[in-house]
Amino acid sequence: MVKFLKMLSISVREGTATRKYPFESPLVTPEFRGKIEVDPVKCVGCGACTRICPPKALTISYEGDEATLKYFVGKCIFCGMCAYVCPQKAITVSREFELATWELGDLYNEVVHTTVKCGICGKSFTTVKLIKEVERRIENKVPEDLLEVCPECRKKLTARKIGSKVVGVSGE
Amino acid sequence: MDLETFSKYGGVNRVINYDVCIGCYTCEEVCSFIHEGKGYIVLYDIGGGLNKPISCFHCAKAPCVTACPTGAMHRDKDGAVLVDISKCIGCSACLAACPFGIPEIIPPGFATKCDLCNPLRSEGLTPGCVSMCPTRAIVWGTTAEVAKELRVRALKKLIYKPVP
Repeated sequence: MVKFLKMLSISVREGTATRKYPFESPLVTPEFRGKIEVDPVKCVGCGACTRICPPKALTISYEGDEATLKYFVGKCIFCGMCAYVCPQKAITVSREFELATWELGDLYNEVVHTTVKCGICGKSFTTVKLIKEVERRIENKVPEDLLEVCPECRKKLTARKIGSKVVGVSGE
Repeated sequence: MDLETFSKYGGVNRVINYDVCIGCYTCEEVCSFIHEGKGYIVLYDIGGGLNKPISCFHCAKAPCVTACPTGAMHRDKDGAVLVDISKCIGCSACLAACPFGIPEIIPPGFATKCDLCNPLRSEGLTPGCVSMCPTRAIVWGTTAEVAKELRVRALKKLIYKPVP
């Protein structure tokens, strides 16, 4: 009983701590992490975020000429790892948290990239923007036609070059 | 490490003497044994039915090091190019940059490539592929040592050439 009276005195002094949320503005601190936003201009489609994402809410899929980076809010745990890891700083963590919706489609956010097709085997292996970004970083030290060949074919090409130029095999 | 420091330090280098190599797959087997089933020196068909090993060349002006956004792909004190997996984010920029297609992305989500057997080198041993090669086709050492060894080999080839 004495303890209760002690609490009462404190609560009278401090006032109401909770907020009547739907009728009042919610308490959202600057550190609060909500839905993420992917900037389609900055994003190069490297897939670093899809590899770090713990619940795999971010996925990248290659279909035909397009690589689609898909963000599904339903799986997101709002950890902010993707924003931390993004080399292009294309992902920002917003403070938006009122995400309930009637449409399932509203929970998906897509960024579509054009893919590069390997000049030899024809398999699409990365995105055009990633190649452009790498080209900018390495200041065109690697020949342009070689950048449009997939890693597996690059190895085979190197083997062929060794065969014809170093060992002296005439080849086919 | 930039190019000037690299040449001043005289970092280690590995050169495969393809004339001597018999394509026996020993290096590939040893490498996959050391790296738990994942070989980083792999034999490829070079034409004419011959197989020769290809692995990372540890380029002096390595494009993968330049392209890496986080500094995970770095050059260690010996001059070998290797991946720091705690820094790697798996963005596949090194895959796009490498002219020989050497780095690979492995399941947990980071790039991996030949590290010239970093644990062995730290104990003062030579890399697995170098020590196991039956024909001593893989030459390893500082840039000066490798150059000297290759010159000796070229000279021997000229002198001991069988008379037709």
